[in-house]
Amino acid sequence: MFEQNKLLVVLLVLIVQLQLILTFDDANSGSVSLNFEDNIDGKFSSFSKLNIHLSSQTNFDLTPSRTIPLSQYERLIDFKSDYPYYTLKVHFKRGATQDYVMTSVPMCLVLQAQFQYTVTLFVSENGYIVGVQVTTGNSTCTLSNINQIEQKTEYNYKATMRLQLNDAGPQPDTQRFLEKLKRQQEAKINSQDADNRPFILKYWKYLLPIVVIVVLQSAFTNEGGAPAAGGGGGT
Amino acid sequence: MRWRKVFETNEYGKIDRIIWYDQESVIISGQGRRARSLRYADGLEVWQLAATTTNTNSNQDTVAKHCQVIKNRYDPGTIHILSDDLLWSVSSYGEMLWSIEIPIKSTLKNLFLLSTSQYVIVGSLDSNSNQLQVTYYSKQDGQQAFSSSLPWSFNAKDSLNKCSTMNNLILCSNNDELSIITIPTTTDDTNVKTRHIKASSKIEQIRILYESTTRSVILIKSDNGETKIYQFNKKESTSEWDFNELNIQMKSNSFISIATDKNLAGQQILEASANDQKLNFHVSTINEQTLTNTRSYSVELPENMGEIEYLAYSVVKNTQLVTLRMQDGSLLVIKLADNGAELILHRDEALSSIISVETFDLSLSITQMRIEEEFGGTGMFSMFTKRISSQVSQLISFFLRLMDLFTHGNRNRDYLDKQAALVRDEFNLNKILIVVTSVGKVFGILTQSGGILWKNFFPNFAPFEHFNAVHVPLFHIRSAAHYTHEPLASIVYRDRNSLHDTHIRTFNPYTGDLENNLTTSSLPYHVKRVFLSTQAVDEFCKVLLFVDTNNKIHTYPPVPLSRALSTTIPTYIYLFDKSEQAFVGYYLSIDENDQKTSTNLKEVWRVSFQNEEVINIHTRLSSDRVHSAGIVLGDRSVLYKYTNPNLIAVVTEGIDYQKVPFVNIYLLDTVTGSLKLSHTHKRVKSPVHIVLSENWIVYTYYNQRYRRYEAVSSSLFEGEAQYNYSTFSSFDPIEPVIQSKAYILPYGVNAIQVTTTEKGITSRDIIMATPNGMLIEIPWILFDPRRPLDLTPMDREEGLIMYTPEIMVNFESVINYYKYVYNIRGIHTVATGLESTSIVFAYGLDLFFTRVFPSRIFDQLKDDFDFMIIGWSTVAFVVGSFVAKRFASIHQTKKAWK
Repeated sequence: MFEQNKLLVVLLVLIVQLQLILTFDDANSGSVSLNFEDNIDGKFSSFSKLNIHLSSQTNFDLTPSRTIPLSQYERLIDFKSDYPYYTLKVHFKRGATQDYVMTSVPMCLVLQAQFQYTVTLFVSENGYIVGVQVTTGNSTCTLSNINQIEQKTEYNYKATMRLQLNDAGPQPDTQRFLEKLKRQQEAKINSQDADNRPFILKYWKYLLPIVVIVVLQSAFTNEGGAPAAGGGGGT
Repeated sequence: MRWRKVFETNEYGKIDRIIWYDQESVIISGQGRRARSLRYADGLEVWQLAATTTNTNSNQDTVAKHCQVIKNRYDPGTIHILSDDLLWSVSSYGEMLWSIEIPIKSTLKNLFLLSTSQYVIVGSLDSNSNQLQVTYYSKQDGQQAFSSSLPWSFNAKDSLNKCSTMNNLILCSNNDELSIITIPTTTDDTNVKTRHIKASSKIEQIRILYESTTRSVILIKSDNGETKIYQFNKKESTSEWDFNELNIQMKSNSFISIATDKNLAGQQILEASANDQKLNFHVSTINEQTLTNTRSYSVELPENMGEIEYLAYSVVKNTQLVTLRMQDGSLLVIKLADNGAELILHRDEALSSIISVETFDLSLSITQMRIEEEFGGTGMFSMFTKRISSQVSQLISFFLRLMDLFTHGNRNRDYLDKQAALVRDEFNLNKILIVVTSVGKVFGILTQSGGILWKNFFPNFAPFEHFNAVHVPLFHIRSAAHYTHEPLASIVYRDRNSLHDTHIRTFNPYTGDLENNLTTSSLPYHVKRVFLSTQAVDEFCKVLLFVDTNNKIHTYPPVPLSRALSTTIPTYIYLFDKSEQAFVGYYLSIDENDQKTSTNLKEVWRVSFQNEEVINIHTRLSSDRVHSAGIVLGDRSVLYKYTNPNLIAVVTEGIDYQKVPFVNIYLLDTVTGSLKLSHTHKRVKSPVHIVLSENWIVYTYYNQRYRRYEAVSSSLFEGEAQYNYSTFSSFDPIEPVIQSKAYILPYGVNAIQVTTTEKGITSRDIIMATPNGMLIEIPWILFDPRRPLDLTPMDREEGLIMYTPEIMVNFESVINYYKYVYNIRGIHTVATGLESTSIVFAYGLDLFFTRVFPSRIFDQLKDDFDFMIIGWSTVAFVVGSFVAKRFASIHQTKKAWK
């Protein structure tokens, strides 16, 4: 009977461990594979792939798998295109789930920055990618700015990626508030405790004026009433 | 109204059945888990009983609960309630007689509840063997007496929808056949009898009109509109029933109700039907098989109210009363008398189901209009003549008015008062509220009196679904700013019968008159989203823009897109895809010379929520104004606000990998698809109420862990320097700095809103509606996320308040005093002509309207301002200065002579 029970407990522990491992595996060690695509060819084509582990590091550099030749760059500068936006599409795969998020910035911003930009990926509570943002460090661009840039035979992507996880929402800070109240109360008690000087020393500020007034008053009454008092004394 | 009782907003407030007694009624609510009794005389809740259950929260959310309530016909003071697996009995004087839990099995579902003089009978469907298990429980103590079973051909869902119970009968419709199953009432009789009634086509509805221990009347409605009425009579000393059809001719849309009274010879049957603005009644007495003494009545209704939805006929002290609920939510009580029918009560109960509110300014008075006209015109000469002519006409009208006043006195006082009510006041404080209700009735309400100016009912109305709520888009097509043209409002709704059809109704908000040119009932596309154009097109009218299911954008009325939208600033539109839980952003570029009235949208961004469900979104008010771009700190430096006008707040719900429920709040930029704020709250429950304004957001939720309501306030700042002082672009590389603080709320929250003023100079107050009926006005500075725990002199200089975790509510800040308003669903705030004043309109079960002054009355004189002192002192100063001048000159002259 005892043996049986022991076996059961061991089995239970094993099951629990297995489940723990499974949940852990599912949640944390599940890596996310990312595939970056953009639309500079007129259609979406991949330029970088990346596998990341959540919770280890938040900044990455993208390694581009292709470059932009000058001819293409010049074609892009011609703004007459119907769609003047640079669109970045990020496919992600995590476990069995796969989906994509995307964002767009005006094409000339990217050209002005010579394909050097920062990608921010927003990662949700469960480790899925919610959204993406591209910043180039500028919000306006002019054609003259782009033309001033030195001509190269080919341009390279210089993209850095940053992961931004959901913030834990703030909680009412009752703990610190209570501590503060406690501190204030203690300070009050301490200040009362420390003051164990004799009565005269403690309240001499209030007593002195009274004494002075009494002395002065008696002095004045003495002056005025001295003859009468003296007369009284005489008899 | 003598009294009323507001029930809980949760499931315990949902009424399952009301059982009427002479002095009081017993109300069963909360899926058969609560019973309470209300006294008619004073509305006092005499008693309340809660069902005693051991497994309360087991599978509450997943399985739709089923509940049956019956009054024991043999012992009218006893009520039996079957709520899923719980069977209990209460007496009408508030005693819980007994309560048992029927053992549950997944294949066994309790469906029917019947009662006899000795037993309470539960019919449960055993889906394994397709048998109906009939269990008899003793009426006295709930002890199981015996059980039997009979073959059953319906599944559980059909049994619920198509069957009704009556005495010891179960009536089930099966296509064109009605089966009547007699359940034996005693132990020695085990014979289950089934009989059938044939109808001409598929039976739609069985209604029990009257039920007693010996007689019953039922109504059978077929889908071809044919209605038949059967009368059931109990056979002497058996448990079987005879039935026969009553010979009655009925219209397809008529309703039937039966009344019994001790004074009446027999039973009276009332047939009612609605026809346009007329209600027709036929009252007859039921004899053996026929109806006799038929009398007809008809009553004119003051307005179109649609079809009848509910009918009850009763005879109280020889007065025949008919109570009706109409399709437009109206409650009607009609008295039938020898001299005809008379409408004695009409209440617009639709006003408790408002879903959209808009406010319109009232029109300018004639003199105000003339002033507007006076300064028009081009060229010196025309301007001069215009001024002269308008001033002459002002003078003439002034004299005419004076004449009228002297000669006629107060002849058309009422008419003039009514006209005056529609004219804008000096400070534009009075407005007209346009409210749309979920039943399709639109009201125009004057704010100064709360009086209903006009109402319109749209019978084929169905609202759009908007996340977990319903909504009806309501737009200002033309505002009241153009005094030469009447303002116009449009509502867009779906057809009740075919949900893909969209209707547009445009009307004048002052009169409710439909503008037929801008009203249509069919759009050739399925609408996904509708919004208003940014530019006015013809005669100051804006147009509606529709996004259809193929992501194509259309204008209504059809005008070139280049006229409806700005061609210099690109337009971004976001749509939500419910199946993928993703927001998709689209971009719309319009060529100036393009004459197209519809175009395709191009996808530019996408934000997807995996394992999270979007439960609500919140946008800022269109009237939101930001007056100052920054906050001056204690050290005289400026902290710049991040005021992104493209932000929306998104609320999602989900369960994380540790099976902990969470709520996420995001601020989403609708131009780039980036997230500016993302907060996760664990062990937190929706509803989440949000206010988004300027550079801050305040949201409330229920914290399950601490069992309290909390509010979180976050502000977004650009920092010490401003990226671009003149314009804002979502492409600006600004990383907003977020400051957040959470606060404990003293009450629950039904709705929150922020006050709106014309220029946004006045400080903001949060208006919060609580479940206990209060509307509380809380200054935003109490929610300020920059409230420090330790107050430095610098903070004090800036005017910050020390952080306290709880927001203290002063009872003086309850803006509705003791006029408590319940179940508030939304609050609407509008700016007035006075910067200090904001208008607040709260709606829900009750309506409440008031004005608030978030920064006190800084631009008005107080009511008790002493005009006399100012007047007399001015006069005194003027006189004094003249006298002083005279003395001075005399003095000067004297001095000169010396």
